[in-house]
Amino acid sequence: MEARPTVDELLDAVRGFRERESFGAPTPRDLYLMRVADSVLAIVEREKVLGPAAEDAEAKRLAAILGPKATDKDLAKLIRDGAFDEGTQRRALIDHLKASVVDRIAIDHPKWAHPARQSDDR
Amino acid sequence: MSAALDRLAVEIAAALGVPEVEGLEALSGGASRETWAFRAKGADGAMRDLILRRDPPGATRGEGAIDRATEAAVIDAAGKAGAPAPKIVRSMGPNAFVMERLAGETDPRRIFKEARFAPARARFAEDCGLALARIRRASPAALPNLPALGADAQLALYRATLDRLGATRPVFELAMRWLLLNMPEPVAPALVHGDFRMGNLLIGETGLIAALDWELAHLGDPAEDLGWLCVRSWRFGGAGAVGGLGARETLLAAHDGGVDAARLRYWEIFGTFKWGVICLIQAERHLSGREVSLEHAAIGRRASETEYDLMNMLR
Repeated sequence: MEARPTVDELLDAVRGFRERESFGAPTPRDLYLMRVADSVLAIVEREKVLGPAAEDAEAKRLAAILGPKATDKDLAKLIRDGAFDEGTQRRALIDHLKASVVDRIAIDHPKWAHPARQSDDR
Repeated sequence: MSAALDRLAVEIAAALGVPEVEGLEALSGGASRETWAFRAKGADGAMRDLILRRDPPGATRGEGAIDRATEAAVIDAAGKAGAPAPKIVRSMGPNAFVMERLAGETDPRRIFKEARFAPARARFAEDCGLALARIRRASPAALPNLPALGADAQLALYRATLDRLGATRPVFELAMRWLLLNMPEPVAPALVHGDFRMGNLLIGETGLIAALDWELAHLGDPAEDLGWLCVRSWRFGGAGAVGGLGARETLLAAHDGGVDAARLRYWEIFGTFKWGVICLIQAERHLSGREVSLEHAAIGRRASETEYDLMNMLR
């Protein structure tokens, strides 16, 4: 699934931030932005480790639904046009997307999927 | 005091018809909105704590967002309908207004952590339900001209946004499709705050003091505000669907506006989708080079939080 900014774009953002900001005594805002930079670098590290296998698995699932040459763009268009509104294909699509978001959140924000944070009735 | 700050102080004093203002300081500043705190003498001669809310020069407004004159008029009307809102002191045209400064806390981390807010936390869901009931009942005749934005009109805006961004996001397409197919029966359009959630709510030790930031106010389904308040992104890790602090049933009972669980669910899914699209918009501001910002880049990767939540809610 689409992950923007990409790893390279994230690294550029952190580099740009380090070049733009010159830190004297850091203000609370500076400290906050440094934490943001750390969390962005952590995303990049996780994506390097987990990204390839997640993309592989995702491509295989997508191929099982739409055929070997299908892309996420095709899938998005078909959903938009109502091709998955009902039926067994919908179940297959939902299972696929659930697997994709689980893999994606493990890269972008693993704590989001922590059971203790699912503080609701789901 | 810098020359720019001096000029602003003189401008405010002239608008209020007082000789001078004291202690002018920025509370928050962004590319789109600024909040300034200061003190000035009231009609009775006593000093009052006030807030200037204004658009910085060159600021842009998001689609459907109202100008400062309209925002001041909405806050005034909501306050007169009994909703917790700051009192407007002076409208200064389309780009600024002055309101009273109320004591309280908006920082979610403090509200969640500090023991002194325990009573406010306990009654948060009920307070919000009661406040939103007052907002919903604001007299249409007393309101300024506001955009009418039901689910259909908003989804059309988000469709255009996703296309403009060139986003390829199957989960958002699935959510959009579900939201189009499952729209609840339309209701008589009423005042909707538009961004009623922790962070925009001023909390005191005894409970909710005021709803702030009314720039997304519009006419629509009152359940929209209820659903937005329950979006997981505004729970800050707390237990309880309502802002991480209370139960949906408590909110609905206090609201007493005929909103059932299914309608609330619709607007919660809608709000989750909406926050996801906003994350993409923020990231694009950075990626396009228009507003280079590490913070905006980082928020792009928060879109996947809403995709995760949407896949827990969609069937």
